[in-house]
Amino acid sequence: MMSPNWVAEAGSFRDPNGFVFYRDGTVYRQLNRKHEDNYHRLVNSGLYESLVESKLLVPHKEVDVPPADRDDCFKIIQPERIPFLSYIHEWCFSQLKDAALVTLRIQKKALDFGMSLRDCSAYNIQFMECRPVLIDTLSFGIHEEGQPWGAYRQFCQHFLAPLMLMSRLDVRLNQLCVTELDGIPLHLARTLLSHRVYTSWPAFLHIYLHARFEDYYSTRIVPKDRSAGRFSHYSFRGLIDSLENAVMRLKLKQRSSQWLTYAAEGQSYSDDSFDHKVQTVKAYLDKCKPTEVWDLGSNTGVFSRVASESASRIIAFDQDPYCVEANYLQVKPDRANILPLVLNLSNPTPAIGWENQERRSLLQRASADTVLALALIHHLAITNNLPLPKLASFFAKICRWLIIEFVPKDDPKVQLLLTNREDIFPRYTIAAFEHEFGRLFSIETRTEIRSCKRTLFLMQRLPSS
Amino acid sequence: MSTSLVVLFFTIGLLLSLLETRAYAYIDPGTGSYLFQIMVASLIGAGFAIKTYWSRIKKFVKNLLRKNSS
Repeated sequence: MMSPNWVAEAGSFRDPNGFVFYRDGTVYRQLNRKHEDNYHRLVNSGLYESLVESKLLVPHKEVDVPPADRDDCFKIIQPERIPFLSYIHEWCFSQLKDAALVTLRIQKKALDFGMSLRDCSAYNIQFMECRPVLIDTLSFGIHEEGQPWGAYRQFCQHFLAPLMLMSRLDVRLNQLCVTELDGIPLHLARTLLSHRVYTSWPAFLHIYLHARFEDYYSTRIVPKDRSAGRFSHYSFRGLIDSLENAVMRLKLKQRSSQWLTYAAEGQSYSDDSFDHKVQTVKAYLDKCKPTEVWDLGSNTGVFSRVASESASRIIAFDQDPYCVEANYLQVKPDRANILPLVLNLSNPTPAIGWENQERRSLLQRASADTVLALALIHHLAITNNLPLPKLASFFAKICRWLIIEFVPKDDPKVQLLLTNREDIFPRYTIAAFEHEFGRLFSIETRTEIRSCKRTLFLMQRLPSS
Repeated sequence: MSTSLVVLFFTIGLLLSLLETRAYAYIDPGTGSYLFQIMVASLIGAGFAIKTYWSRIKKFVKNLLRKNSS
């Protein structure tokens, strides 16, 4: 029987052992009776404590709240809430690599306690304080000696195949996960890697041969006794060790991009004007007192770090995976409160999965107190032909406070954008910008950046918009 | 990776491609993954055991050679 006043998490329905639901805005996980033994082993063996202590698993508390589904409920737990859910296709290479290594570390630890991961979805890993953690407490099952790893294929599809494609072919290939909900199919990875599967042992073993077996047996019925109890402890450890070595060896070939060198070269500002911009942004942030800031077009996160002094959480979005990579590698050692993510604002992450609800779009997931849109508007308006009213409407949807920099048409960077194309933007003026944004925001203050033609605005969304 | 290993992988790959089957079937593809693990279990297990006990194996062989030479 179902209890009222609860909402099921749209992406949590495939596992018969339980599901996530919300009641009064709090997130809970129902564990079904089927999962009782697994949960007892997780907690009583000391595995849960060990994983939480190592910050590998999201902590939870057992609570006494009415279950969502009374008939099947064994226990309700309340996990610590993840402030912002990010997805594999929004991660840079090193984020995915760290998520893969954490998954294998968890699996090794689980084996020490006689347990094993039942699934290996990359969606079960989320970033907290720039650290990948497992959020699915239901993933642990009692390991039956002699049984192979049921999550091996999923690990290869969700982690190894995308990492190999990103490393060997193109860093953007994790974007395939937008259309491939259960990771990149092994036969697709095999096709894309082409002759490269013959030049490395891990690719040959875990992608090529694995895919061949998968293809071969997908049309054949296998007698039960053929797949029973032949996987020794050493084989299991060896498999995890082999995957770990394969992941650790993968590196990005290219390390640079046009945008990566953009901020470092300081092409748009003198030292004085840049310092003025930093001080102005700080002063604006002091006025907004934000909890969560989204830095859109963050590049390598210079202003994300400025914002991190004022806000408890920063999400730094940029469309260039190399900038996001550089930002992540910079914030990772400090465990900073910054989460760098890859996002193309003109085509943001869509909702995917069953009924387009399993994985949410960017706008369905959250909004920010404050958005930083610095040196960004000209790229949206001119490079992407986005009219100012549409831009104002978008920003009004995602934030209350907006710190935005207007870059005028006579700015050298805008002139560069217009070099090889017709100027079809007569409405791209600071007056039109103020007019269109003024319909949805109150312009609290504006500051012309010293020795520069650019202007910073602090805006607050109007209650009516 | 040495050229001979690349040639070996390529040859195995070529032989397997002669048995090509296209897989858009009803049966759960997890079965292949499961059987694949069992198939390579001894190879992976032996490799891991050697790696784990490598220092002991080295010591054992050194001691053996020392005894033989003295």
